Amino acid sequence: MTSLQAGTRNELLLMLYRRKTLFFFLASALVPIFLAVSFNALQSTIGLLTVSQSFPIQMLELYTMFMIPLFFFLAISDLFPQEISSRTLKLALLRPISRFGAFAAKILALGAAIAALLVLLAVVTLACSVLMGSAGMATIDWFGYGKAYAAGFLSMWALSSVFVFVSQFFRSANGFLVFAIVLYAAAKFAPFFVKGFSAFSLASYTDWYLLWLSHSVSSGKLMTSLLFVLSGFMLFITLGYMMFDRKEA
Amino acid sequence: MKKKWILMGGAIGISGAIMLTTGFTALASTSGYDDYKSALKQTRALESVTIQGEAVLKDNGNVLNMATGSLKTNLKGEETSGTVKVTGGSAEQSVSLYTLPEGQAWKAGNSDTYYVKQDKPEQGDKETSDKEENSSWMSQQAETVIDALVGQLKNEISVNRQSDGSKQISLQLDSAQIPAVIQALAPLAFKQLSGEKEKADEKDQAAEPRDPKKLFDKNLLNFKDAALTQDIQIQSISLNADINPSNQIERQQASVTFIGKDSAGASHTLSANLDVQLSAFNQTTPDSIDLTGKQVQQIKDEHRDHGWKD
Repeated sequence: MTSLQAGTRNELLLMLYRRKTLFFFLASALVPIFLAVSFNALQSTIGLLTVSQSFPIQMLELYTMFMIPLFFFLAISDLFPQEISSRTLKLALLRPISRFGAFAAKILALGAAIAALLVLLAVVTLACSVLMGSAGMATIDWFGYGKAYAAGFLSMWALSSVFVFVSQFFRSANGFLVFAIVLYAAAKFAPFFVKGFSAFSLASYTDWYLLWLSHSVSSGKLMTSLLFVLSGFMLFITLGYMMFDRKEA
Repeated sequence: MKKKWILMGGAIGISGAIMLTTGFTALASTSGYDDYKSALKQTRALESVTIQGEAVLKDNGNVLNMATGSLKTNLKGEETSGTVKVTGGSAEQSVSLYTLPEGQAWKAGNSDTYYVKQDKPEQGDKETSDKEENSSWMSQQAETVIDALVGQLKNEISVNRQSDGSKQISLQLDSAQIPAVIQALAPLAFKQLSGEKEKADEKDQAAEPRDPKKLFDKNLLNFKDAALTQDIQIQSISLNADINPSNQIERQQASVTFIGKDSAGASHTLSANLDVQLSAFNQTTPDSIDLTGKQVQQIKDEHRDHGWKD
């Protein structure tokens, strides 16, 4: 257990020391502020969007669709293909930690980074909607937003597991990045052409958090979709580990 | 070593099986969305129907505009008869529509002139079968696209099935659940509507009510009266539909509530309600009228074309 903890901390520190992680976090904090300010400025002229109390949820839509997938593509490319191409993977494997431990530490670090990004987004958007919005704190549905963000986190972590699996086929970070972006775009566009595709695709669960905001969705439906996300996570993690386990560093 | 493989194989097998099952459950679940879609298709295939509708626009609970109408429509021959009454802030306007053997006639409530438009002869009958094939393929593609756009929202549509086969469909969305794209378009649509209204006012101040479409545009849902200029957002959207046992939509209600502020900073709650009832499925004949001895004015198509352009 302590080795897993140490491994996770190790991976997280590695992530933190990379300048692009810092840059990504900074950008994700600035984008909502920039949008909120521009909504406020533009409002008097064209009356576009307002910063309402649902601003955190509206931003969540943008983030689960673009920002967070982009972030975990980058993070995964550093966690797996980059370590292989720069031959640093063996440094982790030489430590007193099992292969599964090393793999789990990477997945946990990825999850922690996604969670941190979401927490940052929640704090920034809440601050924006309270400071610049028309409505104050009173109208915020804390419980509902909490559920939505938790669901958003789950679907993002599950989706990232698909790309962890995919990354095992790549030995170069750039190749993986390009392929991941194309694959994600294809998975996003496929439902427009293929009927029923979205029922089996984790990529169409990026707006899954919407269901947890609703009052009318039955609990059975929530349970089946939760099971789908969790089993998808498990399937791709196991597949990814199978590939990782047979790899020669 | 063997134990590890059994563990991993088990994990893959179990999670794969669960993923497949839940995926198929999601695929096969007959949600309210699918019920509504099939009823909509069935209703669109009707040949004739009687429609009774009411549209109300309220500002902080005061009625701004109201439109009521009852129409008899033959969808096959594209014939319509009936009356539509629009009540604005001060004015009231009603229009009666009649079908003629070779066209349509309408009359404004405050004048005795009947306006008549002749039907154009149908062209290119040969192409119709080809077109139909095309359009069915197109509509299937469109359906897939719409399904994809609706995405997870379709799970929000709930259905209440009765023992006699009728269904009540409802959708209720609060501001947080409304997709950001629609939220962003709402204020733009508002601007567009009130801007168009201004333009129309300038042009048509003394114009004769030639075209029923224009008449409605002038009076129906007068968004300018609402004068929302800031902080416009959709507060809620709700849709309700009653579907009868033969899978036709009998009643459709829709309401959208906007909140916002006017230029003086006072807050407004604006709600638009639409309530449509359909009856006499496939048993409606539009009313005709005998125009002999009445004041008649012929309308040519170019008026209409002109009207559409600006």
